[in-house]
Amino acid sequence: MFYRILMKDLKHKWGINVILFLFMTLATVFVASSVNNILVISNATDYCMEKGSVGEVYVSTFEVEGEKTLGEWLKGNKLVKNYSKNEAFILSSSNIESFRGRDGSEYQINGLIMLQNQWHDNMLIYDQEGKLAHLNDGEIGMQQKELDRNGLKVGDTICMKFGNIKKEFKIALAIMDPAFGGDYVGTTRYLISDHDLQDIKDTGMPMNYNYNINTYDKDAFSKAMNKQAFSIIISIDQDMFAFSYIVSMITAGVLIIVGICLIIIAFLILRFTIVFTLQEDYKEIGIMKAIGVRNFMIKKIYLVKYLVLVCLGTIIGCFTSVPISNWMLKSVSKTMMMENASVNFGINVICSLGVALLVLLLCYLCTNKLRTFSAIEAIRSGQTGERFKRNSVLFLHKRKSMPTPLFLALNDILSNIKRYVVLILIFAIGTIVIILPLNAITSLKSDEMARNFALDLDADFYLNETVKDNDNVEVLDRKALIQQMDTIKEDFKRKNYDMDINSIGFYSFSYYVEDDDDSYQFMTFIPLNTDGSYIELLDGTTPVNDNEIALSEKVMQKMGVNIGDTIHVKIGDDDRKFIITGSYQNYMQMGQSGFLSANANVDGVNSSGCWYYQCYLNNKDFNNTILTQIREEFPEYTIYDVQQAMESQLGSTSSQLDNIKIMIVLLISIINMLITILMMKIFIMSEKSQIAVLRSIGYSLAAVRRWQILRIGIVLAIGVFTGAILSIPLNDIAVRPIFGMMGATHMKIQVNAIEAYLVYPLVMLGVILIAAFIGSRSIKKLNLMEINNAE
Amino acid sequence: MSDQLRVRNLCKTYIINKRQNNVLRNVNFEIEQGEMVAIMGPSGSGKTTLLYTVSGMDKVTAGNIEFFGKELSGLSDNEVSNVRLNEMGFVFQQMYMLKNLSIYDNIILPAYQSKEKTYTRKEINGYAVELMHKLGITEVADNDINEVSGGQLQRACICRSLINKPRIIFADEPTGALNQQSSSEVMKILNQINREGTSIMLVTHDQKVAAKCERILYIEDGNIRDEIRLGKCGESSDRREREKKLSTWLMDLGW
Repeated sequence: MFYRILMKDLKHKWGINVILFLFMTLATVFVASSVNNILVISNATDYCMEKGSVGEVYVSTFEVEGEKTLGEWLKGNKLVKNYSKNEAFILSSSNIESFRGRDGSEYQINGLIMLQNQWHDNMLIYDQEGKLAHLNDGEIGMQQKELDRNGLKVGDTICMKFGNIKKEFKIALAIMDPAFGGDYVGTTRYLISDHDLQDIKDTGMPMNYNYNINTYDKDAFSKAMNKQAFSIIISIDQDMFAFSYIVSMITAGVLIIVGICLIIIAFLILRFTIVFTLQEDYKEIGIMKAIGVRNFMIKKIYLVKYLVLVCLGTIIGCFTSVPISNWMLKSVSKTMMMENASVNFGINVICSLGVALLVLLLCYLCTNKLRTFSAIEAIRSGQTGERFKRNSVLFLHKRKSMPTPLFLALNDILSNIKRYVVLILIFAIGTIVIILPLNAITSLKSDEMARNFALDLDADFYLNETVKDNDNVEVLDRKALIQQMDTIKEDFKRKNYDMDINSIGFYSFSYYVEDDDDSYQFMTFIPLNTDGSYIELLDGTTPVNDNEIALSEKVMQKMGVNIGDTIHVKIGDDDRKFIITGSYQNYMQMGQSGFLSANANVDGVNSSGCWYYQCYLNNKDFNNTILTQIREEFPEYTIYDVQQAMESQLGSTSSQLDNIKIMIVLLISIINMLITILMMKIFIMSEKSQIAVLRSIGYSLAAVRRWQILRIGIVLAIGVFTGAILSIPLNDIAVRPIFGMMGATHMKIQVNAIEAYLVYPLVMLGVILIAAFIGSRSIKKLNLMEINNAE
Repeated sequence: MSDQLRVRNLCKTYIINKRQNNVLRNVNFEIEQGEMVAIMGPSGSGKTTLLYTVSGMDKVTAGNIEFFGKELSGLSDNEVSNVRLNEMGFVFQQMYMLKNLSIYDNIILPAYQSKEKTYTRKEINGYAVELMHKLGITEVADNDINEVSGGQLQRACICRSLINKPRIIFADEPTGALNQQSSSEVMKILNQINREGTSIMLVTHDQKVAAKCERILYIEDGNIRDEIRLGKCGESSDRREREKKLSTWLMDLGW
């Protein structure tokens, strides 16, 4: 009998059961893929570092003859566990002869490029399939973003010259570089064969030496090394490598938020569906009780039925979640090496089992309610057993002009507010999931962001040009940097562009407060051809005198100093004292930097480069046409507007950010659409008799559909409104910390109100109303004769 | 009197499990304006199908249904809905009403939706109160549908069917779920409505109910086998004589 009841139930209520099954599948897919993504993403940087055999500290140096080298210092150092030393060649645009039939001068270089072979046991480089990259002689590999920057593709050739030899390389693969793959790192690596590198080395070109170091005490090691005066090009610790994936991590963070929201949505849907379907069965439950079936037996029927459905749903959901998880991770794993979601299939299985148990628990708890109602009540009411509970809240006869479909919709919601609160929550979460990333993306593209990149918004354009001296980049002092700016200025003047130009020089100095054993190495900025007053301060004043300095808030916190205190800075061989005049925040070096005055005496001290050359036209009114014209007239320079300058640092373009935005909107729209269609089907199925009554008394199909659509529309509107309101405090709670990690803890989250609170909510509304319209089509199929079969 | 409803060669076929089931076969009849007609017949003979088909709630397979000169099968879904809303009233065996509305609101619902009738909402409300008063359910007007008895609910359903002043009321076993007293009250009301000029076509198994109708059609195997005309049932008419006449006729038909 038990089996017969079950089979009859599955057959008779196939519609509701199919919906229940779909929701269970959906919940499994959401939970399994989201948990999998969260795990993959949160382990991604560790995975990346491990896969790349990245040491705790990576230092790249020039080793000058006669000076003590880092290699010598490392030998036998008690703080060092082990280290590897490798060679590379720093590539400049003057090394590029031609590429893809274009002149080498047009080759776009952003930051430092190291040409090197595979180092075999550390700082490893992989191919797209995750296999160790291997290149034959005459082949070269570079990251996809490098290929994209110069319009190259695998198979193209690139000609280079090194001293007296020329080499033609065929681009054999787009490499995955776990160490330097992050968007936020200013260095990239081109991979060539061992033999080709030896050929270049044989020309006598100066090489740089790269140390990959593992220590016993990283902090102590860093402080000890900072006390030495090695000619360091870059020094990056493993955390910094990991952090360079910040843009990917922001995307990943967004996916985690989306994932968490999906899990919440999944459980809300499940609860809603189970409670709803059990309420629908109330009359039958009453009949079973009336004929003497024991409570536990009734429960068993439901538990077995749900077990059958949940087993089917979770098995299908478990397998479906893998490709969905991979699809969601695709946008993050373009530059970042990540585990394949299918590797963690066990997680999917555990999540699916979790969903199954939860469904059964929910079912058990819901059926517990049976005990509280008598059989007679269940039979007589035929609905929810709440026979004497008043349903109507609004009164139609008191409404002077409200159309009846609207009245019915409003009255339904108010009469069963508990049921619709779940839906409101689902839509509110959907809205938050769209608005928060949208605000994060708007902030990433904002002027506020540009200011935090130490860009002067008053500049007309920004120029990025590697300082050249023969074939390799020299480390130059302030005088040389200003000379370089004068050269650029002259170049432009020759073509009738009179302009002012300024920049910021970068230096790496050691800082300490009292004890030089407690030293820190920080990037230090010195304004060139400007007083630096455009750099916004959080507090205090811009340093003006030779002995004044402003520090980033993070440095002040790290060193435990305040405005007015004095700190020591080792500049060259001098140990000098500086008074702190102000604090600021920006994204340079993850918010850890110092800022000396334009009058600071650093003559003869080598810089490690300079920031964008900020250009201000004097004899022309600047506009986009002029910008295009300048680009055409000066192909040898890389010229950016403020947006592009910022994007170049973030490593992502507006279109990429827009793609993320579209992906999220698309994902949430699909989910909302699916939920709406399924909810509509559930409502229609359970309201067959109500619809049949309306149709029989002459309500047209359109009027009935209006009722159904308006009801979901009102719920949606409340949900979207709630979501929009909740997203305001959530901006500070969820979005601001992401920017804080990048260095600007006080970043004002930028909101494009029209986009966030009008356009996208309207898109959501549109999508869901379309879904509701589609879902309501099943009303047409409803046979009015059902009125006799309905409860 | 002119024909209000004229049914010609009406056929209705259902396909169930690939098997053709001819529920109605060439049914022909008319209902004149102001007439009260009962459909009787054994279970499964097609009574309810006939009622739903001629009222436009179900589509015909073949044949014509002419309602005041309008061919129902030629009308669009919206036009049929419009006819049902403005010119027809429905009373079912189960007292179907919207569960989230009060009795009063359920009654006025069709009138508020009607665009053809030009009554104001105030006038509609007034008329609903008048109907409820007439049918004796004023005191439960603001109650929910689960707060009243079956008889009160059926009277409320009749009020709803009358709210748009229809030309005809279709009733499917209107007393089927009621006790004898409630049943008798409901029939009294229907007779009164009929006397006021509204035609009624009702399906019933109950001889007492059918005896209160002017004409009875006997349907068997999807076809009208016979009919009997008992004449108008006035307040003073001899109930027993009508019932006896009907009973004899039904016995002759093998009922």
